[in-house]
Amino acid sequence: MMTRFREEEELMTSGHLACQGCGGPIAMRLALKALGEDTICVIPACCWTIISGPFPYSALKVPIMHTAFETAGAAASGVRAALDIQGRSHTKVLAWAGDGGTFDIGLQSLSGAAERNDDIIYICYDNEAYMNTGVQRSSATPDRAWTTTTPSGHPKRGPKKNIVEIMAAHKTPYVATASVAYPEDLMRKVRRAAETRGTTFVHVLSPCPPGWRIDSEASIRIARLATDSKVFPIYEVENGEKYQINVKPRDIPVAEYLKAQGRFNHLAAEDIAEIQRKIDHEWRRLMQKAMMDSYSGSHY
Amino acid sequence: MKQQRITFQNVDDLPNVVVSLGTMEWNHTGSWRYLRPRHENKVPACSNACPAGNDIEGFIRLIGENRFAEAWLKLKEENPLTRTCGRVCFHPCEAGCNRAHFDMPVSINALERFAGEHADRNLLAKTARPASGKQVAVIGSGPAGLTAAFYLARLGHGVTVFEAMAEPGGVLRYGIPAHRLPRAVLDDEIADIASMGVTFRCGVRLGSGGDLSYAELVGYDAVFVAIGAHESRRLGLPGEDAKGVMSGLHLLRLVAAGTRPRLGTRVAVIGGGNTACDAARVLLRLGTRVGLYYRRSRAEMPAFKDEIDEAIREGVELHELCAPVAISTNATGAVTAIRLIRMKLGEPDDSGRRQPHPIPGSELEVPVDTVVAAIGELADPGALPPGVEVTGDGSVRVDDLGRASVEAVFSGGDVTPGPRTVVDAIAAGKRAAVAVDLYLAGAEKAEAAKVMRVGLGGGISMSQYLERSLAHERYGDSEHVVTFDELNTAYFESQPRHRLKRLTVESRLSGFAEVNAGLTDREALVEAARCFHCGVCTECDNCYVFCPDVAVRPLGEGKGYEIDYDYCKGCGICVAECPRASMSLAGEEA
Amino acid sequence: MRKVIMGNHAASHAVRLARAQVIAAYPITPQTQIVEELSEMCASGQLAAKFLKVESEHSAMASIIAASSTGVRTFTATSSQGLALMHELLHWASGARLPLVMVNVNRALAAGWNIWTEQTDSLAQRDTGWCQLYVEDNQEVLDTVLQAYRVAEQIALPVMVCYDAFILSHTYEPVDIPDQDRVDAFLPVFSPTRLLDPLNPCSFSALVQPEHYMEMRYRIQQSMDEAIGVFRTAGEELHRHFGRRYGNLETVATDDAEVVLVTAASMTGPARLAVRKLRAEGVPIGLLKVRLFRPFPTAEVRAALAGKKKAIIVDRNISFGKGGIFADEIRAAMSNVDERPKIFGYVAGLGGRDITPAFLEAIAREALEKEDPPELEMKL
Repeated sequence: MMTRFREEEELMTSGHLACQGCGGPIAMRLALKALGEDTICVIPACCWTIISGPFPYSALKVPIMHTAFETAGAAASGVRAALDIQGRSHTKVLAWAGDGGTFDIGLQSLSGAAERNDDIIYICYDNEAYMNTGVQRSSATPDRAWTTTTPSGHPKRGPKKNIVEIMAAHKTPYVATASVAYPEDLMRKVRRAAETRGTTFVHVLSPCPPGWRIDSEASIRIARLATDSKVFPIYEVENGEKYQINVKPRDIPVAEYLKAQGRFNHLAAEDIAEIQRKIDHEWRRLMQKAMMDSYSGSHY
Repeated sequence: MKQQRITFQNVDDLPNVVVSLGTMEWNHTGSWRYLRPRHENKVPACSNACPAGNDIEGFIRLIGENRFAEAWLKLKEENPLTRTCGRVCFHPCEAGCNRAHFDMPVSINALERFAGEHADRNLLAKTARPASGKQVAVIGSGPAGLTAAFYLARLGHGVTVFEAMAEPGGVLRYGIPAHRLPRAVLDDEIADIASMGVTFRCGVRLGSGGDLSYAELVGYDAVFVAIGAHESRRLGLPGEDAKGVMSGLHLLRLVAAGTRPRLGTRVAVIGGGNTACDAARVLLRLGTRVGLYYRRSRAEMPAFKDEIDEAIREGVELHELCAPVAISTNATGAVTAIRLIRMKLGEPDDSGRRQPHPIPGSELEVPVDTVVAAIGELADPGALPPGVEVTGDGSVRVDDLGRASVEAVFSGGDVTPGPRTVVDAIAAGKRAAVAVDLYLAGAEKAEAAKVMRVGLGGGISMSQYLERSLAHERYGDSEHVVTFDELNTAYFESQPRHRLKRLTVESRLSGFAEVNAGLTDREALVEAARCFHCGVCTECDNCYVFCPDVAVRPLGEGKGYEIDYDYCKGCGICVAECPRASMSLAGEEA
Repeated sequence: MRKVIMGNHAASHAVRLARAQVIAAYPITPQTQIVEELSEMCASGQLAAKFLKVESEHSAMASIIAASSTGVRTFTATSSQGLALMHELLHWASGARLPLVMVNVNRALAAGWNIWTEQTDSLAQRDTGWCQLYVEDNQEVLDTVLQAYRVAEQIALPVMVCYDAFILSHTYEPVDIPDQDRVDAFLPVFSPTRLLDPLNPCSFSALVQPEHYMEMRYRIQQSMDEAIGVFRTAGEELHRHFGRRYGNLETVATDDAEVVLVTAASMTGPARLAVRKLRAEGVPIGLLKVRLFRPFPTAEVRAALAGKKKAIIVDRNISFGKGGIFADEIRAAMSNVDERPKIFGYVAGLGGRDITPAFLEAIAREALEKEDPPELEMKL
């Protein structure tokens, strides 16, 4: 029983408009439970623009400022500045953006906020494409995945942008990956982010059943497979330098992850082998950064 | 009250800013659902495999919560011989345990023994029903008789147990040796039963030629016959009646009563069952050299594997594929040797075991001082109530609740057909207690039988019978036995099974000290944590935590969850992420 | 206190006196000195504000939108390319009903690069829901910024104060810088009723469906209509507090004029000289300075021009394929007036080319001579 989870206030309501099995509301609920009610949430264009409901409603019990697609970082900085000048520094500012609003169109303003080290918590819930507009590729779309703008005859080529490295390169005080499959780890990281002064960044893998072409019930399982197959390692970086891996992968071949999702249906054996090679390479690099051959984390 | 939709009368009614005035809770997303999840406990494979229908995951959970005495009480609800079974049960539950497919089965038997070590007799009395005024005679005080007596007393009936031997316990006292079941444990367990108000009349043999005839049992409303099978099968060989030939049962009975018979130095034990193994190990402790001769191979031996392994470890010489053909004697009529013939295995017989065939010309003679025959036991026909229908081998014919062919007569245990194990006898005692209770109340048995059923393995639950309500059943109305594939093992970590500590062979053979050690508190907690609790909600909160729609709500510790179908979109994540398959997903009715 | 300062610093002082709390800006010539001076003011403690040195004008606008939503008075300044980059968020600011104040120093747009004055940058933002004022001198810069805050907060819409690059921004003029207490008396403390506040958690700017979107737009239009009067009143209040009078329009010698020269922003200065000279020659000419461009004070323009024979409108901006934007607006404003003047539209001074009194005099004489106006005349 997750006693603390039960005690923490429910700041997301039922009745929101997320699709069945969406990772987005799971991530939001966990994050808000970790942050508490004294939080202001800035949401640029993303699925959550819709999920939270139309005027005159909201699915959150914290204030939301909806903002333009590319402005999450700047808008969060603005809220922070206004709070500080009013002596309301206790209030936390959460920028909540999708992968498009983070990796692509919002990268500049995120970089600006991170470079200024404004005291905000930036959470990117990453579903690896522009899902709200109907599954178009983003720079967070993985290598060779199908999207509506990278049809299976011509899937995306090239790696997913490594947003964590980009953020770590800013010497951001706290950068972490997290996943809806590991709620306690996610909440711990969001709490840690909130306790850390300056810009903090949490990159949350958040499956999209229609966009990934998976059953709605499979969301968490697929997210877990992403980590267990090392596609999406769970780790954190302090001050851009100190790396720590938090969940020990179960060493599952990437094929198992890929074959569970319709968006990878078209992959040939050579594609899978190539993806596996790249994953192994990236994992070795990450392990080197973590400078450890053991793990601090554990299986769930 | 749930949030309502907001409407505006006209443009001036609107705020001039795009601002929220209420939550989204007006939006009943339950209308999107075409699959409906629900919490539905199912039958764990261990309980399904337990003839006594023990609430195994339940008692293990209590151990895990440091509630040791309650764990014992939980066991006691389904099995009054907890401490005994924790030692001598062949634990089919462990064979059924789904964890075997993950790493190793949970050490259920050791945990059962551990729970028994935290027995608190004071907790027992509180659970009895008020007195019914009815009287039941229980004939025999082996596991079946003791169990029936215990539950009949709990059900409010007056119980008198008649025992032919000097002390109660039957096969537990006179069959199973003390190195497996210390007498103090047994005495304590029988004392629990006596504390329920059961009267024991020992040294009273019923039946023709006994101390008391069935006709003389006056004032009893029902009789439960559980006299066991204490007549040994004969070898049917020349020399069988020689001095130095005895049955395994006889040997065990003598030793249990404190006698140390003269056996010489070399003993041949004939047979492959538990009696043969027990006898062989007792003989080692009496200082003889023991050869165990079995006509099939080790794989076909009906004895529990553990018993065979330990017998061999202790020094019993196992000779597979050897059948006796004759016993040689000297002039004084004493045994000098046993003649054997080597066997080979042919096609499987009715029991599924491969049939042994003698190899002509392979005879051999082994010099021995004593021959112990343990090739099977039979009921004593003279000890049965007159008119009771029996099967070909003399067992009492009973229906599925233990009712014999004569009005008000019930029977169970080794005197009836079926597997002859302690736990099966306990199951029979429990079934009979229910049958007697129903009979005394004049009630129909069909409904009760359904209420009691645990899974599909024939186990029944006394607590379910006492509750008399489907709503209070452990596993709902489910007959669904959870398989390993249904579990979500992502939530389980590999953890090695506890290795049972045993006495060294040297110290074992110096007496009848108990061979197996129990668990320490810490070991028990570690082992309890290994239980998957297949099919039974542990309130791990996965369904609640992962619900994207905040539609699963905990009702408070121990009260489970409710699903708000106004909002549940039927994504199925709660069911998929339930580690233990205690939720189900079904199509939504149109 | 009277000081000789550049137009940009006049803006900085106004922002200081308005007690802006969050400032966000990105450097662009010719605006830069405004925010440099504000940085100094923040650093020295003369102004208790947070200054976000953002990485683009777009982020500057995004962050002051956010800050304003959180309940504080904000400021940013930009010019030309920077304003164009902000375009998306200009709509956002008005749609969110935020009382932002921004200075735009009018500068021509690339390509090719040009840093000198022209008003096409701000006029291209005509339809964003911002109020726009075009000012003539450095004193008016200071006063108008104060007026802008007062009106913006009253009508819950953003205000853009526009003035010409270099001609005002970098030119030193004597400016009366009022004392803080006098400004405080003119400009009340900003206290919005709806703001981002965890104690009263609301969402802002969510999806608005067709059933409500038009109503929200209707409310903006209502406030814009109202704003004309609010600006007028604020102008009168400015006079009461500081002794300087600013209408939405200013007319010079128009009562008995048959022809009216119409200007905006800094060219109004040379225009005054040209009109004075022509009047001295007996030409029946007057001058109309359009100060408030959005909301467009249609009724006031009609009152000023009705019955005149000709209106000569000089635009330092161009809507390609149509012409001068002020001319077009005035043409439209007069379209349903019976006795309307002929509209003579000239486009001049683009990209910082000088507009001198002599040049305006020449244009006026040309218009006086011609019977019919050209559709568009670009004065190269």
